[in-house]
Amino acid sequence: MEANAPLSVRFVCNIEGSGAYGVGSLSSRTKFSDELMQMRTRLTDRLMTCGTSRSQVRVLASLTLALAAVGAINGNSLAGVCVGDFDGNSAVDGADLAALLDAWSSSNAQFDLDGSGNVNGGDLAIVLNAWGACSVAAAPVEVAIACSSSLEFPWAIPFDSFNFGEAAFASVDPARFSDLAGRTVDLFVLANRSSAQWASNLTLVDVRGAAQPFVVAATLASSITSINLVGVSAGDGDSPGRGLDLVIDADRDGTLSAGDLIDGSGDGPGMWLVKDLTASGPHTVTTLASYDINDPDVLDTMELERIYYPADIASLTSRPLVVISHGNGHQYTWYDYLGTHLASWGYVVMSHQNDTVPGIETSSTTTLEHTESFLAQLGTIAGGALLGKVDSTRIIWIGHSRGGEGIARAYDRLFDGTFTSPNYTKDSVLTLVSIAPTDFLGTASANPHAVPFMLLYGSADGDVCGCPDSEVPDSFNIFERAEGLRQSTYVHGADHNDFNCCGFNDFSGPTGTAIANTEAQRIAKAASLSMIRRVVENDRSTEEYLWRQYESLKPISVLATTTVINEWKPASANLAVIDNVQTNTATNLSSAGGAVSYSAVNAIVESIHNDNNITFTWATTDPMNGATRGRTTDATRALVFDWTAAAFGAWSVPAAMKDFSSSRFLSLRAAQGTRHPNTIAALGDLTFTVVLLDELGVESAIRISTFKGGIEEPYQRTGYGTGTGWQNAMETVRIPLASFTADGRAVDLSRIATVLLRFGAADGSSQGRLVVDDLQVEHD
Amino acid sequence: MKNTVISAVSTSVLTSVLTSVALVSVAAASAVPPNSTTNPATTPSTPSGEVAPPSKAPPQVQGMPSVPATPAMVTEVLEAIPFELANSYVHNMRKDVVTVTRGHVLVIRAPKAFLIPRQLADSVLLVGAQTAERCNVGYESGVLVVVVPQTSEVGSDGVTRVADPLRSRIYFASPELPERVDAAWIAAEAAKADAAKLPATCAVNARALNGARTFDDRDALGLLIADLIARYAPDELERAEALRAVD
Repeated sequence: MEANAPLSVRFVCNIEGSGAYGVGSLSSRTKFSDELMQMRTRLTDRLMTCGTSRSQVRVLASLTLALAAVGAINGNSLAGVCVGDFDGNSAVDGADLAALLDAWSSSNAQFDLDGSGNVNGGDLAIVLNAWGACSVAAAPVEVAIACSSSLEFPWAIPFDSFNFGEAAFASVDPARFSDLAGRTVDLFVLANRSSAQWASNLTLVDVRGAAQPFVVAATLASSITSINLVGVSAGDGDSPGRGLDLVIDADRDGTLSAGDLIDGSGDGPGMWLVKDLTASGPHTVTTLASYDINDPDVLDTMELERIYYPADIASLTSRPLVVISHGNGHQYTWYDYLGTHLASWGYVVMSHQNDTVPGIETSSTTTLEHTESFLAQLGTIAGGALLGKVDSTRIIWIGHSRGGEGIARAYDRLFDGTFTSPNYTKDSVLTLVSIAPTDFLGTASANPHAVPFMLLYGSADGDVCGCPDSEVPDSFNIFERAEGLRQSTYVHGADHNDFNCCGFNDFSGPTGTAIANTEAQRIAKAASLSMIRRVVENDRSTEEYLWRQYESLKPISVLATTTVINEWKPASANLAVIDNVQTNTATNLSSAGGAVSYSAVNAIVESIHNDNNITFTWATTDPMNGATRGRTTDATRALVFDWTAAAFGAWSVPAAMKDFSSSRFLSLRAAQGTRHPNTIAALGDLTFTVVLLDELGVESAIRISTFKGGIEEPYQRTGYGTGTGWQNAMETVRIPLASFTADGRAVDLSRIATVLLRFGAADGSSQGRLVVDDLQVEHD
Repeated sequence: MKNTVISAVSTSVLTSVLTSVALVSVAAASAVPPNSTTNPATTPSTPSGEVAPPSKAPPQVQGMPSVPATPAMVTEVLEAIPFELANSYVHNMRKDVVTVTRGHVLVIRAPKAFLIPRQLADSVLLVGAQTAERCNVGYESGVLVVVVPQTSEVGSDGVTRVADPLRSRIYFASPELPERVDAAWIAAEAAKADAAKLPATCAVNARALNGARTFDDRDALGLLIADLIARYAPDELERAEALRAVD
């Protein structure tokens, strides 16, 4: 669904052939180009209805479309119009007639409704025929049609990405579109069109050959239908996702027209049909098994690289560069699975010998120097096949273990200016992907700053274990330091060396829960591809794989039995913080300055994400037990509490941020408190209900179980004290704000007073211990 | 999709060896994972306010052994090859990096527990007052090939001489990143070794000492190292091949 709601723009007049003028959201005259005038002639008279003649309707339609094409009406909606309503008061009345008469006999285009060249009786007739309150029929409306279905409110969840071969749904909310209730409409699935393409072509062409009849019932729950996608292919070139637009053709005339609904009228599609992200992409891969960069700045024993690139690179434009920096005791040849995968999706990948034995500083130097040398030697590598084919302004660093920390340190050195290169800059590095990184260097030095950052981590890591007695094995420390867009993929049952081919078997966890490296590498391939596509290519088709519950959306070949926890946080420019616990550290005051109140929740504490002792044993003296996400020098903080009966926490929304209507998501992240008695007593996914309450006291409530899964229970690993359960694993809950107003819910998103989290048996888990953080509204 | 491999390096030997490592053991539910660097093999104290833990926990696998206690001697020197280079290289296994033109390649047998490749700080291998560069992992074979830059030492007679590694204490010191190790740290570790009454020298195989060899540079020295790895740690052929692959 498009980010912005449709705008209704009203026009008072136009003149055929010479120009047109608008009021309402337009502040100045808009001159039509010849092209736009030609566009008009392709319209049918069904588009807009307020006119009184066919030619009039055509003119109005052309105006609307032209404005859409130039972005004047936000590029994603077709507007309703009301001919003769010169003053825009939603009625054709005496004031409009007086205005017309004032312009009588002139060539004033605003009042020459029939385009005859002057204001005359024809125009008067139009005004008189339109007399009274405007009855503008609904223009096509941009609305989410593609959805996942749920068995409880909000019934239809407006998600955009769907796996090829799996169920996708379409919905119409009869509470919002009451005129469609009880009617049979046609569901069209179309190849994605840009807004300009929609402006020039309203004919509906279904990629399946024919539209799908769809009966809109009286309730939303009954107005959800499975989209028949048999025969529809997924993927689009180098993108795993194929964009499709959806249209509900209400009048079943095969044309996008008034009264129809559209999901994808802007440049972006209404939905994506996505290939298996674990499978190879469209390119055959050439692998250069070993290349010696012979760089005097690199230790002689650390100069080798393995290089992967699309075999058809000669026919491609320059490609982003992915650099892989291995971990200690590992080899640069151990990441074929990742290099081959990413190259098959169109990337040039270089995996280099990494000098990790001395330590992180040395490792970072190796990454920096190899990147520099690789870019300098493109004329030589592979016989010059890569010359002109590597985009030095789009670099992705992937590092494992010490190498994972090494890339964060390397970026920090670029950030600090302590390393400079003639071949690339800090701004060239677009994404870091750290796989189970160490944290030797700490807050100031192992720091991704604001570059997009991904963390891949296995709960059964026996090496960089996330243990409470040391800061070094706490990979999430680096994740928490990332200030830009960040994502973590936490994989139950994966160990440290599952992310390479050949490392030591360090699996540590419950017997029978090891997923082994084949499965871990499927996840790593899909996650890294998703992140790189999203950040480097702005490909939205992969984004939902990075934040939705894995139970709701996972890469096709990842096993249904594998537990993966996603965490996602947009860059700060794309969100408004209600409470991130970083400021206003009293528990009754949010970061945004609103009051926070609680009922029947216990042991409320705000503190740093840092287990304060050396065990995971639950103790009241260690409220952040299990939180291995920050050193004492780190800033990251969270809220924690528990309950055993009906309870809630309520965050008052300051007046300055009460308008959620133009935002897309309400989001928070949460984790179960490991080894807490409540966690143990109700072992399993923890759920609760999120409530929006507006200024008039109208509420809308959504259980997080609606999105499948819940807050995952801690991995059942023992050690470091008594009890069972490993580190707290934060998980993002991201709720489309549109869902709160579905099915006739009257909560006013422009006037939200309070956000509540309700707990207890009526709202989810009967008891629990929850770490909560980053309650926020997100725009992107 | 088909991949074209121009010249692949086989990893099958290493893979099969490493996946066959039999370090998996079933631990008691309350066992403390031993892979702690700050508190190895320590059972944590119980904080106040503790709630009784559940009685049942799933059987567990513990894959990563702990770092053994240090200081500890290596087992034996199998070979020692003095070398001289026409072109120097930088030894970066200590904070105060040194430029190397002379030194020794040593082949050392050591307890496997010290040779497990790990990401957290490893025991620093010291040869006298010098850090050794590990050229292979050595876990499977129990053999390390290392390079030790030449150092000088002041003898009991007050005379400064070139240190002879075969007459030096060769031992595993505390876990640390070598790039953070300096002379003061090494001296402190030596004091710990003295306190632990570690021998002043280690066992040396009778055939250990080789004649001095000269090489053009570190790349050329790498070919010797590759041969030694291939001979003593055949499971690490891939590392040997990497050393041989340089131009």
